[in-house]
Amino acid sequence: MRHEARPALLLATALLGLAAVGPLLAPYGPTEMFDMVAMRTQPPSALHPLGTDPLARDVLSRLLHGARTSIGIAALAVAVALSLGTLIGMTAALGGRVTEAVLMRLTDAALAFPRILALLLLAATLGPLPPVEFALLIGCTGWMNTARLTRQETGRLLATEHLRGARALGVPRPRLVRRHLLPALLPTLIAAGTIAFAAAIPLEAGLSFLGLGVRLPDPSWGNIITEADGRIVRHWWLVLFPTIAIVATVLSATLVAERFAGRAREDR
Amino acid sequence: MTAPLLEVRELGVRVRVRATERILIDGITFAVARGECVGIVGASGAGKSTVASALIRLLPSAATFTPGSGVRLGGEELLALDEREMRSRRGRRLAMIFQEPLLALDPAMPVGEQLAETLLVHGLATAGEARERAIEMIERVGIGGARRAAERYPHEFSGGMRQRLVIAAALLPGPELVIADEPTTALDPTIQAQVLDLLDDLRAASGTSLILISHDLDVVAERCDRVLVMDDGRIVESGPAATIADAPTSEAGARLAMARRRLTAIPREGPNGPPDSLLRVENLSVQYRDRRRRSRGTDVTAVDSVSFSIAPGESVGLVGESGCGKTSIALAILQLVPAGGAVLFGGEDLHLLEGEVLRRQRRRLQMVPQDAGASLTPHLTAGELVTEGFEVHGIASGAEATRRARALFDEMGLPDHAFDALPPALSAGERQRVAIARALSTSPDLLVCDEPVASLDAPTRERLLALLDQLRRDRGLALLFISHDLASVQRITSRLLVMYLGRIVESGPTAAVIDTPRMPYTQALLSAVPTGDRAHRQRRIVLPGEPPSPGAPSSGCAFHPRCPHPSRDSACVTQVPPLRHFGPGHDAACLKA
Repeated sequence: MRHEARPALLLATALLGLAAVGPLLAPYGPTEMFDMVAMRTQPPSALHPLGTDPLARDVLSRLLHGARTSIGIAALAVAVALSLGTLIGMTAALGGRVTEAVLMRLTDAALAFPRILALLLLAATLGPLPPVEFALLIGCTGWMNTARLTRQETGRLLATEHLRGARALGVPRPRLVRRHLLPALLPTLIAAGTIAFAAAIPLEAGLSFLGLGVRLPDPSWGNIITEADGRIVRHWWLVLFPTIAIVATVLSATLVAERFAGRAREDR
Repeated sequence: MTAPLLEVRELGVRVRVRATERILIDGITFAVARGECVGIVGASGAGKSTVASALIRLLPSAATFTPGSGVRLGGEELLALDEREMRSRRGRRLAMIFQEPLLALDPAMPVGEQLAETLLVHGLATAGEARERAIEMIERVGIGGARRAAERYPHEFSGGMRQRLVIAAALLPGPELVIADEPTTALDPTIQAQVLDLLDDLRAASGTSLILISHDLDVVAERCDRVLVMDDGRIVESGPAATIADAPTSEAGARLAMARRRLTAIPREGPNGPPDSLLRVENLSVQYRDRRRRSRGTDVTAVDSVSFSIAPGESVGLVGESGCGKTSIALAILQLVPAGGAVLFGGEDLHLLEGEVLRRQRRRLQMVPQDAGASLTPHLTAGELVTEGFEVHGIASGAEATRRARALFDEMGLPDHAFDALPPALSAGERQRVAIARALSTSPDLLVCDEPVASLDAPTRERLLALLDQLRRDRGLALLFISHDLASVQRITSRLLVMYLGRIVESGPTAAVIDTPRMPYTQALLSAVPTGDRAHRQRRIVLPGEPPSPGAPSSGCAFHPRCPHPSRDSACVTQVPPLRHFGPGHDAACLKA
């Protein structure tokens, strides 16, 4: 195991755990409001370790509830992107020359379009979306890299002796894909998935910050920052803590991705 | 008597892996006289290569010499030198030739420069001199157009030519001792003879001593004065080559002597009954697009209108040098590469079938591929891979499939633990047998074996050949046995096809072809098989040049540029020789035979 992977794995596990049980750890409800006059936009204190927001809600509780939303949306988006990408990449590699050309040029075109712009346009056009649909939207704009990787890796595997061996034995196509091809693709897919996850977290946060993602009053790591209302120095606790959560998540996902990519290379 | 050049005294090498210490070399003692050629033979894992690395002090860092070890070269104790001093001895006083020439050459440097470098690093010549001497050496190792060849890069040379370059690089600084570790194992038999003769001649001319390491007793016995037999890190036997070959006293020596390949044609009954053919190949052609020349649209013809047939239960051998199209024929029959002509199997043209119909035919037609280890999906266990054969053709499933797969493992002599092991955890020989078990799982009518025994040691090879022969007799399994190892081919086949540059140039009953080969190429192939007999070495027909590339075919008889036949003339250059009859079923494509 690579030495930098161990803390990254621990961090990743901790963050996933947080997404699962975070709301249970939260001292208050995510939308629970305290004394609007005395408690609004207060810096960290013993009662509210991460401070309160302009509506006198506990930031720690919102952050913990938001973890489930943010990580959950990113995870669902990755699942969508991976499924779409694998399907398109494999179809291109297994299909004929025309299928491959059409699908891959489509991928190139989709990749050439700036993802953040596409998301802004779509989110603005579609209006406010519930979290699941919002996750699908992020996923639908993130399948291209997976498609490319899958096509390339499938192409490489198809040329290997063991797939030729399986064909010579008379293994039917569906079984060939299921038993001989997909498991060999798995390390690549895991690596692609973690990279996609690292990209989805800031996208969700960015769009929610702009008010195009998770709608207030539901908390997400992005829209907590929105509450700072532009005063990022004076209301630093509303910016700093969600940012730490985002950076830590992206960093651990990236390190885990690197580890899986390294392992996929070693497997060759 | 003068002192020997190399004195090895109680040489021991240990390797420490975590807490356990393993002995690789267990106190061996031997000497090599000036100008002497000493062979070291042994099975793989006997410690031969470790001896070579120890002598030039290039052991892996985990390995250490045991106290009391001594290696004296010309009176100087090599083990007492520091790394800098040792570096100045390597290449200069003792040189090494490795098995894989591509690894010994720098891919990014023209070969002339690399050769000149061997002189420059030891300060043996000025840049200009070194260049001239490098070119001279390239010429001496038999590479034509040396001045131009010196400008080329290693990848532009064939395997045999590369090994010549490695020999040139080793001999150029004029070392006193050359250690050659399996120098020709990766080469074709015809090229092997050429390269070994070259090494021997150059060595004799310069008075250099040679340690020749090989697993093949015959290769060593033909050239060495004295042979050391190694087993498990020790020298278990030593003496004149002929004595060890004919009357080995050690167990390891006996095993090696048994592994010697003997060409004695055993007349073998062909299949009885009507000569119905199971497989009929008609005008089979395989072309590959040459990637580098795609713009010019030139195709390389790997197989050129080949026709032959195999009867049920018949065993047919297909031999020839590498690159002659043997594997392409196998892949074309199995419908794994696009091909022209017709492959009639059980009366149906496989070229016309596709999808599910073709898949069902595959049950009756199986292959053991050349690189059997790579043909096994690495994430599935050996058991799953063999069971799959029963499952995909609806022969058996569940516990019944497992039971039958285990029975096949037993039949192959595979250990119990192999069933649940992943292919990478098995040895090369075991993987080979798993691949064969997998092919046999569908109870095929025809088994195409592409170099099935090349990677196996002698006892396993013998057992496998016996097993295939028994399957042929018991189940009526027909075999197409592709190999460059003529001794194995003659053990198991009743008919032999000899290929040269994509065409069949001689065919006939195995015994007839081996006893009275008609085509000069077949004669050369047969004579290239090492016999361990020095007298035979003198009579050997050594083919000049390389197996030609199918990309640049010559006119007339494809073999004419290398043909040693005395009455070869202009007709050979202009006319494509037709197949002529020389006996019952024995044809050869030669105008002069």
